[in-house]
Amino acid sequence: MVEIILIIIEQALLHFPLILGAYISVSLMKIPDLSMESSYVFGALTACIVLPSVQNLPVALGLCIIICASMIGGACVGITSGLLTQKARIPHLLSSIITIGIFHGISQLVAGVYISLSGYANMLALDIIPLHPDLPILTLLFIIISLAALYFFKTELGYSLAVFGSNPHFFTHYGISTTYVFMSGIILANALAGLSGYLFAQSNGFADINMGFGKLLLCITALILGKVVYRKTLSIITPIAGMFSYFTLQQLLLKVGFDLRYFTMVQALVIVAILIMQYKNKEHMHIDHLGV
Amino acid sequence: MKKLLLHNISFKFNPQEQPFFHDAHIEFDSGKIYFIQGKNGVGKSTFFAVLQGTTPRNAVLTGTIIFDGTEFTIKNNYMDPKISTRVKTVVQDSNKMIVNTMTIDENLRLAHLPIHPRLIPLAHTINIPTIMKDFGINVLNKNVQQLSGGQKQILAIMMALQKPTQILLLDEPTAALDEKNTHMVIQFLTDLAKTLDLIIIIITHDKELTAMYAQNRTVTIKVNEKGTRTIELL
Repeated sequence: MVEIILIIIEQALLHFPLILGAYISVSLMKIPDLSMESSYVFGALTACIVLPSVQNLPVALGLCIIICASMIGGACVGITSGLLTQKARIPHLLSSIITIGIFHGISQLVAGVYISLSGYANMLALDIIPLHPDLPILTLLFIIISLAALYFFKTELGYSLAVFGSNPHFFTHYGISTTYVFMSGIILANALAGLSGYLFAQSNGFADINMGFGKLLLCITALILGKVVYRKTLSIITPIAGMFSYFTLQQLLLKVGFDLRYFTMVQALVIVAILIMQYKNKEHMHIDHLGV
Repeated sequence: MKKLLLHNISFKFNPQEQPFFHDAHIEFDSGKIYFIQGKNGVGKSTFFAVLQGTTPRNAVLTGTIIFDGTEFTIKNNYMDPKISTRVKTVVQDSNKMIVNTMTIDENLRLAHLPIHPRLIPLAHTINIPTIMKDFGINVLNKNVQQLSGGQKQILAIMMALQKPTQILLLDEPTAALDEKNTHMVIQFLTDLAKTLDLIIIIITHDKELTAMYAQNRTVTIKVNEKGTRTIELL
């Protein structure tokens, strides 16, 4: 039982930045930001390319540099899809699909299709918890990111992202730059996805060009589960509750002998079931075009 | 009381065209509300754009503005920013100016956002302006969705006024409201103009409303056979 709980916590913490990023772009800003799957991969690949250069540095400094590299990698994807939307006037769903195509090529040019980290020390490892050496640093990162998010959601920019999702016309009436708000949100969300990609790659010992597949569905499922638990807008509780609910469900299904190959289908069915329930109880639930 | 005098104001959409407004001369007093009437396309919104300084790039604007005794000459075809920055506009659909998923308090605080929102906490909670309390908006943490159409319009007006304002322009603020809410909003605007010493100019097609509240403060825009507009205060 303890082992299952540790697995749930570890998996949840590995995906926490990604789910928080999706909370910002999909849930708060109501943007169908498919490019997050690409930033997840590109962030991981960027970090993996930088990783050999920081092996001789003190671990804390090396880890900071790697985290920055992964976030910059993710942010590059966000900047691309954001500029396509804001400057080339391409609808965001299409611009994020285009971005995925662009970065699928760039990733292969820069890093190939697969990078193994087996020859390098695990930057996240601390031998405090047997079998789960990554947990202490993942927990520390979780606390730092949560506190930062807690503060961010009370700031002018944090509120602006939620306003963007509720009423994108708002900014023009008050002389506020819509482009600035949009780009800030998209870049932040994709940078967080890039960080999550690195954490996953470091924990598993490899980065793969296809590792982003299905990640947005994971995020949407987690956020819908999170909204069932806690609905208040601009709250860190929603993504946290969502990610723990998601991985608890996953591990419970595994425990009863479910084949995880079909879990993507289960996610889709969970979303359908929750949305149908919400539609039937419309007076209690606010449903929008992205369901989260 | 402050006076806004628009003197010899002429406006063309581009240098080759006939003047759209020609030698317009009109005076507004603070503490009062004015109503602009005229058919669709007559130039009501263009008149607002002139005051706001949002006319098209190649437009030609000339004339003199005197506000509160200070003379401003129009330069570079735009309204002097010292005037235009004191002008705020409220659009017909107040839902575009408010955030329905947030509270009254949050909406009033959001109206203070700068052009580039920063990583500092949103402005502190403010007290509900007394004038809003008189119109039933007296609970700060109430969700905006719970307000009536008229109260939402009042909230949008108060949000527009969170930054320094001396001239308030409203584009058909009562078009989507029932009779009760219409009178509530106009009464609110009448009180607001007196309390904050504002010049309030309202575009409306509602002749009954104008007859009831205008009392010699109706601005009429008329078009002559050449397409040039004249602006008159009746």
